[in-house]
Amino acid sequence: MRARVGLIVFFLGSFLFFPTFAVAQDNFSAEQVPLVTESDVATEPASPEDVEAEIATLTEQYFSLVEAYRDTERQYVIARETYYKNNTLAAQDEAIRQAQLLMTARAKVLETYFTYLQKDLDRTLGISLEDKVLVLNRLEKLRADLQEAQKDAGKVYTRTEVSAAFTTLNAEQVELQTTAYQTLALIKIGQLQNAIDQATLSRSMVGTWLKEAQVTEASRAKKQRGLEEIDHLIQSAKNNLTEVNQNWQKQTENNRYLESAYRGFQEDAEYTYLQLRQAHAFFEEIVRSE
Amino acid sequence: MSELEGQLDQTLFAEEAVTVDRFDPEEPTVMPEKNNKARLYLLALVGLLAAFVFGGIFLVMLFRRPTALTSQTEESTPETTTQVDPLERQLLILKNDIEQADPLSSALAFPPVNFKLDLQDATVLQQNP
Repeated sequence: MRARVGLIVFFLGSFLFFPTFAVAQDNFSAEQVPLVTESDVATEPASPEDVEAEIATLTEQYFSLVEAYRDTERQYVIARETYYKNNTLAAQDEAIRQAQLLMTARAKVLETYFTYLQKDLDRTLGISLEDKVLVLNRLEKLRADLQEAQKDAGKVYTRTEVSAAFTTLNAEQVELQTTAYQTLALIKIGQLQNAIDQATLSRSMVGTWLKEAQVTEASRAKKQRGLEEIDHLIQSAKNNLTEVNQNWQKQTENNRYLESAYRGFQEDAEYTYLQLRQAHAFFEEIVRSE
Repeated sequence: MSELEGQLDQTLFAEEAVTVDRFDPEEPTVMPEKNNKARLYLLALVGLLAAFVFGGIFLVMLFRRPTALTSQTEESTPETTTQVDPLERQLLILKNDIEQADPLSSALAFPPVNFKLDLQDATVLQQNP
């Protein structure tokens, strides 16, 4: 009895300290794990890290789908050649079945690729809003068409239906490639514009730094000449990018912007890139050397 | 009988006063109430003391832990957030942005899908090889 009473007293006495302990724990956990409500997640835009992770996942997915597509195409070619050789109903059925799988695989690869382009374009800075919205809408439409194509692939049952579906899909090549290469070019234009903006900001910062830097007058004059050279390079890069952008605008109106057009764009835009690289090398030289 | 003889006589010892009370098993063992209460108070006091001691240990651990964490953070801070010159940081950003903008480095090429697929009539093909 006495022991029980003692235990009860001890137990109740221990409770004197629990409130302090509990409050401390609450504070500690509050510092470590910030609470994010569902509405916060819904309203907050995705962080650059999240977008980066999403694009990395899409890239991985894209490569595995390309592999799957290649396998499916190989299987289809075997089935088709068997049908051409034997001309039996069973061989024809197998060729039709493989054609269905091939159409689905192709639509999946293309859809994933356009989703990737959509994400990449969306995160790229330095693009005019009008151009961005225009191309994003095109990509969205293509994605919807490709999703529809995946559903329709299972609805072709005869050889003539398969043949007609292939003809339709083959005819979409120009539209698909034009949109893809236009998007790739626009992403590069945005990235170059962003680099020019950063170069302009760097020019301003280096200019301020030079005014306050503890250097000899001779060195200051030399660095000032370097800055003037950088001004020239940045201006030259801007002019070239404006020209490249205008060409892009003209070619987008043609609805035909295939790989050759993209190669031409790459060659033209390379000049802007080289001017900026040179400007960066001069910045490094001005800031580091004495 | 002399005094010495009396001391040596062992029989005398048995006749001396009984030092132990006789124990009666029928008699109920009632503890004095006063004594009972004193023991209870003593136990309560010991319990409270123990509670204070354990509570004190909890508190000490509680206050020492964040201090230890803070000191660790303070120690690691100079390593992780080394003061980078804003100008150097800006030039690093510029370098990364220029490299990313290289027109020859394309992200993903257009998928190598076949745009010349067909499924002709095998009978026609066999007739016109």
